[in-house]
This record gives sequence, C-alpha cells and structure tokens, in this order.
Amino acid sequence: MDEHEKFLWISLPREVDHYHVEKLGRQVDEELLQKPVECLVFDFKETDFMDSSGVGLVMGRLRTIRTFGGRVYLTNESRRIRQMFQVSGVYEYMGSLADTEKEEEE
Amino acid sequence: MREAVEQEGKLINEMRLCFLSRGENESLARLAVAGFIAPLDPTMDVLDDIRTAVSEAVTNAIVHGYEGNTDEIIYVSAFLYEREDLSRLLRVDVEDTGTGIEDVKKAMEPLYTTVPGGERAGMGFAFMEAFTDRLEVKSESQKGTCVSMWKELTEPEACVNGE
Repeated sequence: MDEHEKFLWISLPREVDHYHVEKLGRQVDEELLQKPVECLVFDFKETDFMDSSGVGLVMGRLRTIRTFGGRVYLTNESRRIRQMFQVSGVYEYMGSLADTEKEEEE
Repeated sequence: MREAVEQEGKLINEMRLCFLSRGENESLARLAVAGFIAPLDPTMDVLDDIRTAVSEAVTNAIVHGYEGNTDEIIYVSAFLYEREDLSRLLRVDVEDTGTGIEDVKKAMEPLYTTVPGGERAGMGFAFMEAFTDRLEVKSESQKGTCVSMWKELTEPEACVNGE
C-alpha cells in the first residue's frame, strides 16, 4: 500500500474470491478511517480470477470513501473484470485509470 | 440456446467431489471442475465463465447455506454430455444440506443479500445466470440447496464440419 497522502493503492491478490477478500475489506476500511484519501485505487495487475466477491469488496469501499468525498479507481483490470463491474451497475461510480490516461493523451 | 440445453444427450463423463465448507475450498472446487473439462480444450472465456459460476455457488453454500460453519460438507458433481451432433454440454451441481432458501425467487434478485455489512455484492445468482446457459435452484428450508448449472462447451454449428 502506497503511503502517499492522496492515494491509497490496493494490490489485489491473484484470486479475488470470498476467501481471499474477506479480511482485505476490513483492512482497507481501517486505513481509510485513519487517513482519508482522495483516490482509492484497486490494482488488478496480479489478478487472474475474480468472482462477485471482488465487486462486493469494491462496492463496500465505495460506500466508505464517498462519505468523505473520495473517488475509487480501477487499474490493470482485464476486459472480463471490467464487465463484471459493468454488469453489477457499479462501474459508473468509479473511474478506470486506463480511461484517465487515454483522456490525458487526447 | 435454452432449447439446446434441455437436450442433455448421452452422459460421457462424471465427477463427484465433496469437501468441508471452508473458504479455501472455493479454489479447489473451481480447479476441479476446470480440470474436468480441460481435456475438451474449452476456450478461455468458457473456462472463466465456469470458474466464476462454480465459485459463486460454493461461496453461497458456505456463507448462506452453512452460515459460515466450516465443518459441514459441500457436494460438487459435474456431468459431461454429448449429443448426436457431437456438441457437448456440462452440468455442474453444487449442493449443501444447510439452512435452505426461504424464497428462491427473492434470493435470485440482483443486489439481494441477507448478510449485512456491505461485504457481499448480492450478485452471486446474477453472475451464475450471466455466465452459464441455464440455472436451476432447488431449495427447502432447513434441508438444503441444490444449484444446477448448464454450460454449452461447443456450439452445435461449430461441430458440423466432419464431412
């Protein structure tokens, strides 16, 4: 986890399932309560499997961070992972760093 | 698609697996079912769909069926069918003997979850439905739940080139 004030960077595990994210959600919330951040980034670089637990993890943190006006970003998410967030209807509440980079290039 | 799924064809392979209702076994269940169909050389998309659907069903059994008790048994069975046109169909049953679901229709609504705290997305059944070709849920209060999922492994038209 990056110690920069504005960012909290969460590197997700290889398998994002109920078993692997159970504790992670609580850990992230504790961090957020101690040190509110502007941008919470979920990095899927290492992830090659995700089920709806991943959506639950991000949704839960989205609720926490929105109470103090922060934003949630996804990065290095595969097409499939992005689809899962879209199907769940939460994708519109978060940004993708890939999109942000594209906008900056234009 | 749905009509095709209803014709299961001839059973050509079968697997039965039972394990304790522990979180780390979610991964075991996914791997076992993926391994079961691996000899058929399915596409990555099909494999990912099945891994996700199995993971959702097993998670439901652990979290809801057994309410987090880790010393209960979950049964996963997989059946492989072949039809006359050589297309293949997978069926996976995930069973628990836990609390059962009072109102299956309600439980299958997206975003519905009985476990408060915001850790669960309430998308389990929605994902099972989205990533398989057919989903059936049988449940009886205090008796348990059986989730059956069907997935086409090959499109029938893709197999008609054996002339």
